[in-house]
Amino acid sequence: MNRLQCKPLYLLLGLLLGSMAQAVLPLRDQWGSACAALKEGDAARATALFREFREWYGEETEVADPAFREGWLRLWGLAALQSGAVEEALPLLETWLREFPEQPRYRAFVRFQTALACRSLGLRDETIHHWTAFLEQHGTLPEAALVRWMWADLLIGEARLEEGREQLMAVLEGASLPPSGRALARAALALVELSLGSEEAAFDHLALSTGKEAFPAHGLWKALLAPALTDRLMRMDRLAEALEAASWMDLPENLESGFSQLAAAISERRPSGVRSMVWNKHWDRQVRRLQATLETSNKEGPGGAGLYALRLRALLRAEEAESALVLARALLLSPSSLAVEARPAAYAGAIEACRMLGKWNHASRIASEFIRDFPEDPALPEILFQLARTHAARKDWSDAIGQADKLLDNWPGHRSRRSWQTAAASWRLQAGRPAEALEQFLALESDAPPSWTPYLRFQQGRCLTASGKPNEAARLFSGVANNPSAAAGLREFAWTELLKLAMRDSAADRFPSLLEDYRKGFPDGIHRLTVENLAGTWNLHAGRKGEAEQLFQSVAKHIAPEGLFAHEQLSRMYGSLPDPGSLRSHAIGWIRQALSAGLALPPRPFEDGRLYQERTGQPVFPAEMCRTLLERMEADDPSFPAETFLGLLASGWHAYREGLGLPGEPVLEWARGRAEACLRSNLPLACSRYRLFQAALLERQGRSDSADTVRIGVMRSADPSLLGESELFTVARTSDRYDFPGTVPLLESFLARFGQSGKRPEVLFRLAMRRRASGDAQAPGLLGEILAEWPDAGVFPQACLSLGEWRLADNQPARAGPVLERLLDRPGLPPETTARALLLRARADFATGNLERASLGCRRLLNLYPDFHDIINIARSLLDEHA
Amino acid sequence: MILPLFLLLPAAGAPDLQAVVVAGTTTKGMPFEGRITRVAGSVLQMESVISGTAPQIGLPMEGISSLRLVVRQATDRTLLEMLEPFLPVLPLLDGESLDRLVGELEEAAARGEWRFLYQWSGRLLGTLRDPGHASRIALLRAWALLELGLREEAVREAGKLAGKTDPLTAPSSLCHLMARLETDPDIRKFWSLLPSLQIPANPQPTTYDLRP
Repeated sequence: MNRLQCKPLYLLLGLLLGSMAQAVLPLRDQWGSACAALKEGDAARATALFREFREWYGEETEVADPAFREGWLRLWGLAALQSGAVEEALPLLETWLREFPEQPRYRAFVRFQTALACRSLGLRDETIHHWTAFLEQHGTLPEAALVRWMWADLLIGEARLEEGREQLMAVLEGASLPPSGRALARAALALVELSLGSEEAAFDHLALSTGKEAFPAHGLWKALLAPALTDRLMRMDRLAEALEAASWMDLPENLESGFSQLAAAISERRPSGVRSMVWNKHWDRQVRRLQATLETSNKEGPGGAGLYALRLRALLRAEEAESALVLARALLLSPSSLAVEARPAAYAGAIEACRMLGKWNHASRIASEFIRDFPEDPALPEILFQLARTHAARKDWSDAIGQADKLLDNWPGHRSRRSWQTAAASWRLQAGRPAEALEQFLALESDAPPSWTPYLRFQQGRCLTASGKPNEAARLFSGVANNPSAAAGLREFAWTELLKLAMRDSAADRFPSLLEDYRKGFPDGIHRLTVENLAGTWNLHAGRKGEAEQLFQSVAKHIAPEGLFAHEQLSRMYGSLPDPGSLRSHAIGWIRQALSAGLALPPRPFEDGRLYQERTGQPVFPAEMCRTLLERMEADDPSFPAETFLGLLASGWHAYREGLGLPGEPVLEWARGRAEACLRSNLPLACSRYRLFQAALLERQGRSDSADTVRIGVMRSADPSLLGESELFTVARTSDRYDFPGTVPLLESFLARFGQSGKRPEVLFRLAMRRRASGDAQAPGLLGEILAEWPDAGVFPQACLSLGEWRLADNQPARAGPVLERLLDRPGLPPETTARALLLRARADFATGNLERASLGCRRLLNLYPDFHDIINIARSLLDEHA
Repeated sequence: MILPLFLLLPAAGAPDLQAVVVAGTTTKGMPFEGRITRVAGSVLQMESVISGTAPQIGLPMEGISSLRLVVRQATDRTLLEMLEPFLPVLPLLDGESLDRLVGELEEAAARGEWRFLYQWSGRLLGTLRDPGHASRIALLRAWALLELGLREEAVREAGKLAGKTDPLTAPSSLCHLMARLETDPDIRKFWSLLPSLQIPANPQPTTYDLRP
């Protein structure tokens, strides 16, 4: 026990002297000298005098008198303790505690100090004995929390973490700690939970310690534990919590100075009174412990660059792509050494974020920049893999596979090679090359650790399914599904694949039993809703519409993507019934569900509403719902399907206007009035929606010029970043049609914001035309995206024809052929499109030396399409030229 | 004869000459401390507060190595207002004194006193050599320009600052300003999200957050 720790004792001793010395007159001189030494603060001399006193007068009757002995033992023991003679003090204090059990004064203090003395001597059992006695006899004192805390520290030091946790919980349950103390206790508890592998509990303790419990140590603790917690929460897929923990991070140098300031502030405190000193000592010890933890963590921890990389990873895992891109950009722009260190992570993060946002070209540009500027960087293979993943994300399978194969050839021993192989095999499968994929997955199985086997078998099953070998696939899926050592999620996936196979084969005998087994095996399975949807589809195909309806209805109650699927199935079922009443009820129920859950409103129930109105001539929405939907639309919700909804109002206006309390109001006037009202109320999106609705109404009246005037007005006045999908599309299209200077940014903004929109191909096409006109070499790439991802789009034929023409114009006839063949393979093409495609292919064939097919194509044109004079004239010239 | 004592009182609105106390050393190493009474030409006139020295001293400005603002008597006026008659001393002020002045500018910004801020940021920027203080004041000036409706000038000033700033340590007030000034949605998003992504994270400002 050090001198500082005993300091409180001196104060106490000073308070006790006087009367004791007067009590034993014959021994006064010896006694008096000891007391005088204590008064002077010389505990060592006092101890020596007390010791002499015992040698000289220890056997005297007066000394044995309990009234004297009580004080003598106590003062001697405490003086010995203060002077550092712990071995001498301990028996004296223990004797005092034993001999004077009825002595209430000083008892708690002596017990507390005796326990500390035992602990300093390593007497574990004795320490716990005294702490137990303290808690039993003085459990209501504030120091009970202190005792429990010290007890917890002892247990944690012995790696008895669960018992330590119990004691710390008891510290928190007591009401005696100040908020700052509670924050520290929670932080200590968080560290224990983290050591026990209870990341969620650790997170809760740290996240709870905010607001009222604000204390500098609390923020420092959170920052100290944040990296480990973020990493572990990510591994557990607790992504929202991981992201929050990542927001607590601080740089190591800030933590060091923060802890130093805190420790200095506590050391400099001059508390008055014994109790304050005891507590201050405890806080000092705790903060120094934190400092020691920080030193270890600074040595072993991630450092500033590592913290940024971890934060970036947390953002990407949580699909916060925009934030991740901002952070990656900041790192790439920063001239600091920290940013240089974090550069590979920043590049990889930026590419991944762009990919998530559908900014393919941007992602490729960033990867190319890294490859060009840092060809010797050890992170190059990872960046090249990111580039391969970007190709794969835009479904450019051949480039993705080629890139992955190159990686495997150039870095055959790289630690990520198995991930590259797995990715390449998956891409081969998706590219329609299941045999090659199967081969690669089989090769991986012989190389990868055994823990990978269930996953690889599952993938092999998918390859076999795609190769038309359902029985072999089913055998593999069954093996995975029944493998208890495989991950539960993977086993469930295998079950769903088995069910799909059974459904595809219409295996009436197998599907029900498989379904039953799945339901028994995974009552709370994560794919439960998917499987119930499969069951619904199975029943529907088998003509058991009632059962199918029931199943879909049960799934549709859930707010999940599977719920949306079920709703859509129900829409299809009800849409085919002769009575449209069920369709209406379902559409209304679906909208109500989305409204009450605060979700984006899906367009399908509005489409169903349109169908209902067309078939019955009656308004689909009751007046109350109509008002609610109008409020929602006017609240500037960008995802609201305004175009369809307003179209519904227009087609049933006579009925709706009564419900809205607008008898006699023409719909056009109403739309104009609402637009003005929204403008006055600073609701720009709602105003734009009403004005575009007004334009649609004018268009319907045949007033196209007036309609476009209104649209141009919206384009000139609205902030494009505030417009929703449909509105921005209309504005961009109008701008394109009238060749306004801001067209390209509008089209690009649409593509960036609405990556999954069904209007994307048309926007891509328009943008490609504009880029081509300005000589931009990226124009063909935009059309390439339409060809790769939107084969069913209305602009697909035009995109093929334009791309074919551009390839010919760019002297790349070999690249024109496949594009035109894809178009010609498409059934149901209009004659003029077929004729143009045949002509372009003939030109490509002549240029590449495929003269036979070229001549055949021209002759086919002359025979089949004699009315398209411009085309056959060229075909005839070509034939003459190559005759 | 009864003296018209009221004539000895300073006229309303006149500078409180007693309030600004400075200390410093001359270029020859001699310490001094006193209340500034006047700046005449290139000479600083003071009432000395160091006992044993002449009660009135006059120091040529070029002979002063540095100047520290020491004491301010209780008054309703800010240090900046009190320094107004003594502008030539500004280039001599040490870092701690400049910190106090910039602190007052930041308080003025938080109160929305944009004209005052515009005027004083111009004065200070014209005299300061320390780049740290200069960038803090330039940021406040850019805010003032924006709030006074001089958007283009604000864009120019803030753009210069942003170009010189490491985004990982950019003050949240600069990020917030750039987010307000930027028209490109991507760049606007960059500045508005940046403070919450820095380590340590700065919360998004809800009003004019002008603290650096």
